[in-house]
Amino acid sequence: MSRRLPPDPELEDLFARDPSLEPYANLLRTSRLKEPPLDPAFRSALRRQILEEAWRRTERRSSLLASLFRGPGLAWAGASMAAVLLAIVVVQLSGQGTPVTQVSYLSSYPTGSVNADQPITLTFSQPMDHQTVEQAIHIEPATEVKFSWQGNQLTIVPAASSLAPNTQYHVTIAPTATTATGKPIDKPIAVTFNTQTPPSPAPTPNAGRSPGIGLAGERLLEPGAVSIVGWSADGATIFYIGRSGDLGSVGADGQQRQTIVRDGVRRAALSPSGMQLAYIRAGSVAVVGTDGSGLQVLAQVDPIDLGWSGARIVYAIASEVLPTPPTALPTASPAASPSPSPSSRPTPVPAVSPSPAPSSSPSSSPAPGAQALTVQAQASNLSFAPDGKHLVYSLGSATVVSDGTTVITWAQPAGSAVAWSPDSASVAFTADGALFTAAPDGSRRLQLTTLGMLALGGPEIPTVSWSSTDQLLLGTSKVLSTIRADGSNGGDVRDVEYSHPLWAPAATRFAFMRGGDLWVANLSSTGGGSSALDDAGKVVDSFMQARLAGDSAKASSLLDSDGRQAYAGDGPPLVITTDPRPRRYYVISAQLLPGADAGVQYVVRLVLARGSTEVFAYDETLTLQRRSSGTLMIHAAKAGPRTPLGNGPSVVSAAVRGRQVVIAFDSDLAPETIASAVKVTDPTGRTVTVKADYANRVLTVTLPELPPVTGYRLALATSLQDIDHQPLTSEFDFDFVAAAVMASPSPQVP
Amino acid sequence: MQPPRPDEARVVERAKTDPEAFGELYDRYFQQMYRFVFSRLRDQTAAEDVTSEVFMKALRSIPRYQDTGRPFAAWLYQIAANAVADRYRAHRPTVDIDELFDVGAGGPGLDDLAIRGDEVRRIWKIVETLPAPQRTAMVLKFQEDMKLADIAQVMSKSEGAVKLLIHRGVTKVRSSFAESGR
Repeated sequence: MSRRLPPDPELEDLFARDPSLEPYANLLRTSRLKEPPLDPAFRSALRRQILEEAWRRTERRSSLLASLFRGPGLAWAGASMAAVLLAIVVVQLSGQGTPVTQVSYLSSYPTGSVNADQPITLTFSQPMDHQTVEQAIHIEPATEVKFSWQGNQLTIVPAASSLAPNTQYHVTIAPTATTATGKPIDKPIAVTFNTQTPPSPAPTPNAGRSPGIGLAGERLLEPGAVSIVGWSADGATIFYIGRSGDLGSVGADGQQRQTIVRDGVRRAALSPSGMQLAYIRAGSVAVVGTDGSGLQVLAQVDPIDLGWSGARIVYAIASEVLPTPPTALPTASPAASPSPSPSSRPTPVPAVSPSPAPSSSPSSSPAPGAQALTVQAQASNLSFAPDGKHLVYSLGSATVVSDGTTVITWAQPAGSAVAWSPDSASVAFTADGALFTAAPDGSRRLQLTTLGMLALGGPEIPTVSWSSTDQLLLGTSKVLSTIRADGSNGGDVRDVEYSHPLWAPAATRFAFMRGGDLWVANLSSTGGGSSALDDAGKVVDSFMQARLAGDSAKASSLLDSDGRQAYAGDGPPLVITTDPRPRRYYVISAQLLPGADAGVQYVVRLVLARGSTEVFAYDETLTLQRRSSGTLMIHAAKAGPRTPLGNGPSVVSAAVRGRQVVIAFDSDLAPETIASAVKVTDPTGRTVTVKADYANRVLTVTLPELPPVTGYRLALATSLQDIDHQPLTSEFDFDFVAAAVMASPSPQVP
Repeated sequence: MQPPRPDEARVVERAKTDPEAFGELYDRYFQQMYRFVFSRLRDQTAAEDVTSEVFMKALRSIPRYQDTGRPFAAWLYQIAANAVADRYRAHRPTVDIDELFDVGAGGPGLDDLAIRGDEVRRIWKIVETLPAPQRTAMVLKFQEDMKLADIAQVMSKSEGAVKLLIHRGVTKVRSSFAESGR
């Protein structure tokens, strides 16, 4: 209600002659007005409007002056007019930047483009008074720093340990700074520099994916599945064993469910033709058509695993005593052979360390079309080669391979079940904390990478799947990683379960287990070793570089017809040739859009400058789609408002990592302003309860479990302030896909 | 009114040609101007309109601004007071002045606070009935804590004239307050 104020001599004097008025004056003076309601968005919008008007006026003055100085203008203006104008020009030019006195006071300072990890180092040309210099320093964007001196060199270290990337910094030292002798500097010292883009793209692509992995379209196919049997040859159907031992199939789109065998199925294998399923049920080997027709029980032999060799079924039976003589596994007929693999490796012939050779069991009577292979009773991790000619399995700590006639013990054991290459020429496995490939006999062992590099550290052994395009997929209950068979192009998605992944034949999608359910997802990082995000990133970079260079023809060539339309008429300008001009761009976020071939969305920030001073920026949302030719082109573009730079914090990157949205800022924020400024809404506009954590210029918003759809929005209000209490430059909206953030979503009903 | 910062004259001079410097002045004085405008108009939309007008006028006029030794804020108040007067003529505030003031609550002296709150509201209601020049002078003096010389600049009057306006205003408040209390 009242405020404390120092006495006002003017009022005391005014009412000295009539003291009876003084109480009224005091009451008027000490009464307190409420803080008026103020919309922070109004404040920042008005600022933007005023600054734009100010720049327009400045430009008009500049062009007027220029036109007057051109030929006839000057002729009629006369000499005295020219002198006046000249004076104005001088004032104006000096007004375009802070007077620079580095030459006299600074012998070295950052300039141009610097590494964000480096501290700001200013070397003065003479001894300075440390305290007054430190107090006189102002840094934009607002940055909490620590100072340290070594002689005349001042090192300014950000409290966040590094500067923000992709940011223009202005460091000014006010004239209140003095030399060691107490002489104030006569003018402000101004230092301007830019920080570089981090070595890896600043905005980590969506859902914690590294650039080599582009995951989208996750879909729950079958609740309560036990294991994945395989994919149909056309990649449209997945075969699985359900919880009660049902052998079933489901379309990769979640449609066309079918129960093929009712219950009790323990193991199953899909024929290379994709037309038949061999399975083990009630101690028998049986075969059935994938449509459920033609069921045949082939052998009552209590097998432990089975596979296909061409058109014949091979199955393993366990025995304490390995029989002799050996019986070779059948050779597939050419007509029944699996499709040739795109890669060809010499098929190794096991020829070392022969151990007692197995043969078909004398106690078994294999039916026509099936072949038995006896393995030791302790065998585990059995894995038949796709061509059915080899079986690799674990025996205690040893790894052995059998071709039906010869058993070879690997010189160095594999630590896990092996994943066969499609041509059956190689296997992949994990051992000793690393991922390896080798020939089936264990020779030609090649370490691709350590599991730590793939973020697969921990006791859990990942399951590996090898695609037709030589991409390996490793999954655990925590992580999915991809890496090419030559060890290149690794990437991962963390904090989500992708157990037992299995590539589809075309290697564009894969099935996996999550929470005891069967799932499917699209993965674009297959052919050629690059992902859709990578490819889109290259297109975006070419497009933006062309625009920066003013090359509208080249920029247009990266737009499809809709994209060209987006930049026509009232759309954003394709190239800008007037001041302020585009100076640089950087990527704020990159996401795969959900749905097969739905495209990629990039948000880029275009920074506009007058000379070297960056004054405005605006964000453009670019949507890229793949044409039928396979080429990615920019299909849609939407520009946000221009915002002035240098006043208030800005977002420099946004990304989804598992169940967290991570927003990085260029400024240190006032923590007390964060919680109320963050709002997440679902596709229906309902507010989602989230947890917001902040440290070192990074805001981490933890989401609850969300259904895997697009249309979520994280909005930051301008009530968010930096440590100088400047509000966020403008409201920031981040539309994101929640596809990879869910842990146990509700099943999708076809 | 907050005392001007040491570098104010330099920033104002730069702002004549440098939009960024004008932005700095905006940042310094926005809150003050908005608060003043709102207190006179008591309507958020109207206050936003007039505040926009104030800064746009200031932008247009700043090349002609001459440092008279008075704070830059006084010049802004001058623009704001004129803009408020224009708006005031067209639309008088409809929101009761009661809502402009905080009402103390809780703790010892609750009764005293209530009495004082009532007095404050009554006294400012009386101010609202005063002729415009008296009202403006009193608001600038009592709410904005401006010096008489600065108010004189805002109102384009002499310092003596401002003193007279305030003295007469407070005298009127006293008499009206006594009458309304009967």
